[in-house]
Amino acid sequence: MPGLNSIMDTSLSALFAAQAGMATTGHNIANANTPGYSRQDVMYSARRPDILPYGALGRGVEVMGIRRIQDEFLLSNLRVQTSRLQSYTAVDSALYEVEAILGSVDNDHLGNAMNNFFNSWNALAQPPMNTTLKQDVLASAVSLVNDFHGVNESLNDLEANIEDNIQMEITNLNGLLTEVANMNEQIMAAEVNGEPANDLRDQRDLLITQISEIAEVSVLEREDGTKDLILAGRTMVTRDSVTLFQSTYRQTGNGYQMTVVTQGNMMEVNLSPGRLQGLLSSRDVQVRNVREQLDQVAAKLVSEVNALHTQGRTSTSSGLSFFTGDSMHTIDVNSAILADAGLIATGRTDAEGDNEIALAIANLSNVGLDGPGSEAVGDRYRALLIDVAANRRSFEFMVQNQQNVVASLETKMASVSGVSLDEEGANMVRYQNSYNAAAKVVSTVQEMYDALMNMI
Amino acid sequence: MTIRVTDSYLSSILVGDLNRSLSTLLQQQRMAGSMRRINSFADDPRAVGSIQRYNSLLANNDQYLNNLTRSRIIVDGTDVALQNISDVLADVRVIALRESSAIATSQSNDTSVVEVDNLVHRMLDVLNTTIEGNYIFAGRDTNTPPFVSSNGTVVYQGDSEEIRSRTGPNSTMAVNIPGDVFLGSQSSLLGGGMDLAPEVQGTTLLSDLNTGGGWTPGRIFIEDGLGNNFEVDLSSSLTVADALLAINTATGGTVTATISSDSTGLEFSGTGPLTISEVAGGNTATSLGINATSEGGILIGRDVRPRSEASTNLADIANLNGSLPLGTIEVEWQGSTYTIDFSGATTLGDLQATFDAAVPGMQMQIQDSNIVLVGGSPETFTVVNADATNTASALGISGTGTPVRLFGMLEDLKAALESGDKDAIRNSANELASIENTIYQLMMKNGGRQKDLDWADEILRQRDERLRGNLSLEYDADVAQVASDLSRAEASYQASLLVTSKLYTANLMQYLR
Repeated sequence: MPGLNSIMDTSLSALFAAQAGMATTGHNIANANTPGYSRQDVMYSARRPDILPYGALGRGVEVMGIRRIQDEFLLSNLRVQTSRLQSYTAVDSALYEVEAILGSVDNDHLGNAMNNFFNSWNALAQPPMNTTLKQDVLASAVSLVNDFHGVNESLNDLEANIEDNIQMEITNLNGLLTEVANMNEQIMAAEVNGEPANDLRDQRDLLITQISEIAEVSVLEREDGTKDLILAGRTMVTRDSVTLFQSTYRQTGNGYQMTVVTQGNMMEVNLSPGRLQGLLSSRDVQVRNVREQLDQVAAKLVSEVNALHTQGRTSTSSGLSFFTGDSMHTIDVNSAILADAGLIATGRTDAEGDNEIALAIANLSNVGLDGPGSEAVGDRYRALLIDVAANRRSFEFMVQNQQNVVASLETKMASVSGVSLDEEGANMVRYQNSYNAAAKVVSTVQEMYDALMNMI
Repeated sequence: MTIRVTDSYLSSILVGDLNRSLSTLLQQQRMAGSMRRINSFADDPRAVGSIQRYNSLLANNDQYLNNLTRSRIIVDGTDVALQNISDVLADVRVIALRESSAIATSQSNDTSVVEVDNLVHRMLDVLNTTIEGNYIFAGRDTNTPPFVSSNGTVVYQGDSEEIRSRTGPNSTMAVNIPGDVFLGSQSSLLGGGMDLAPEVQGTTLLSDLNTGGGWTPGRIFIEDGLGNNFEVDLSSSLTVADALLAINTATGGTVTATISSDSTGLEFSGTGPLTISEVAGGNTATSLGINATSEGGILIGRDVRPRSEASTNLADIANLNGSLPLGTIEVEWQGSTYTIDFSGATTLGDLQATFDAAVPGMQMQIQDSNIVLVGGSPETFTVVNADATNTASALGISGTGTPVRLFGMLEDLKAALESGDKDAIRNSANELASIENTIYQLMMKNGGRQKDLDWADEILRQRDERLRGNLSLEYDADVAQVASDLSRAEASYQASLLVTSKLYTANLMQYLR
């Protein structure tokens, strides 16, 4: 037969359990809007009963622990998809910049400059001949060359901006890796007695998610509660020790370029998807591709115009190249022509009315040097625009899709780990009722004690 | 399974929906603000290429139209000059007739000598006409006065080259008349008497029609007397056969399109009256020479034959039907007789090569789908048929090639007037007739160029309209559609805001006491 003290003790455990539940509910409500917070739940268990001759008599409730509700599979998937989203976004942003450099849909600078250049030749070729129009040809050629140089400089600036961003992301990544190592140390210390450090774990998970935005990361949890982080095939965080990244310049086929290496052994890393990899890809693939295609346009323009102009002559010159250089940044108007527009040849003879060369150069806007059906300079430039536009479209589409994927996963995460005020309100009522009921039992036991005392 | 609807879950969904609504609204507002369907490269990559191409083609087209305006200055200036030359020659004729008549006196002869002198100077002024500082009769040597008087004789200082102007993406045309044609000091001419333009055939490229001016791809509208009507899209046709097939397939045989019996253009047959017209301001029917209405069941289009080139097959030339294979001609030139056998020739280029190789100092030229023989000196030459094939006649080169001695004739006339030699005056009058004929032919040739410019102008303006139309289709937003979409996007966004505000105001905490 249990004594009144035993009943009192059972009620007291219920009071403590209800208090713990109420405290956790309060904690959940307090952190309802805290980024990375996972709702917590009190784990209850019935105390071991007293075994009596007539059966097992319960001894109340015991708080087994407080757990955080988290779906590791969802979280891991969310990080992978976030890495991809950030990678696509970085490339999309770079392509947006490239589009701005090339101009707008109806006013692409280089295309207009090329039209003006060829049309100035057309006007020069037009009888009655007006040799003062050679100045117009020269002016349009200088404008075209300046546009090529301007685009080249803008692409240089874009590459420099991308490299600044790469540097910034490396600094950011190193800070996050260091914080995770620190968190590992704190969690290890906090969990030495076996109780999970829920809030610290939440903070660490948030840091790891932030790392996954910069570069895809694999996570390996140890038995001591610490998490190792593996990036680009290298373990960068082990318990409380960390290896950092840094940037360095290495000579490549395109001159010295910034690359990412690990500190210490200076090994170049092949980054997985993420903002950092997206930035590197923007510079090494997208911008370089645009630059190469523009170089081809400039080279074709130079070779075709020169092939015709060198066949021409004026009263004081013959066989003169119109342009020099063979790329976007080296193209220039021949210095002799720059000094004297009269050296621009319109025909194969020095007759003023000979316009064969000028007509042929003007026609390069329609067909290539190899005649009908061959690719004109404008066709090659147009192919570049379509290529950039298609890439923009493709990455914009991928970003939108990936945003939907990430949003969907975040929503699922919010459903699993998020705090529901309705749910917490219901819990609050539940714990309050439990507490009231337990208190009533205590009060009743008190009355029983009083009755007993009054008998004496 | 019931989903746990947490506050962050709710927030994530609602904010996502709000962002989507706002993004759609922004896109619609950009379209409404710019009235452009495409505001970024990513909106439609294919259209970006098309828009750039249309803008480029429009800029080129504007330049071609400018070219026409500039070309017209020379062609019209040439027309005025030729008319002035004709007027001077008319005055010369009056003098020659007057002084060769019985009423002429030595006194009137003296007056006429002065008049002829004045006319020579007028003629010199006309032939040294400049436009914007360019001598229009100097060939390509446009900054040198082509005709100068030296020791009482007028000599030509220009060259024999034509200056061409670009009148379209695939066409150029000569705009000047080199002045050596007026002065027999350099050459004798014969020919131009036979139109040797090639027939229209199934394999003829549509871009070669209209003496190389091409056509305007697009749609045509056909209606017959029974009220049947057909809209035919010819834009993908490359050859005449392609176009005919497209038309006959579309009409199902109700109206049949063929090449006209004289092979100069297209012909339609069906239940009359037949009407062929443009679709939505196009120029396709006009450029194919079939924008017309027939009285009966046969509609015959205008002459749209291509231009003769060196590569033109003799068998394709309508006016040589029945004359092939060609035979032999004889040329008397500088005291020698040359027999030229054209039987192995299959193209106009073959004729040129054979002739040029056989007759030293002479050249066969193709000018405006005619053959012209040019002697390299002012001596006359004769060309006759040498066998029963009548090849010289068939090619329009039978006869005597004479130098056009414009100033030589005037100098001879002046000398005849000074000496009072009435026979010599009559000879000059006879030669004058030949010169007037040459001037008339040049005026015809120049008039043809004026018509070509008009035609090119019409084609370019139609092309401009078509390009702007195509650009608009690619680039411009549909106003009604944009207004409707914008209104819908605004309503959608407002609804999202309303729902969001309602959902956030309600939760269990409000009901707990």
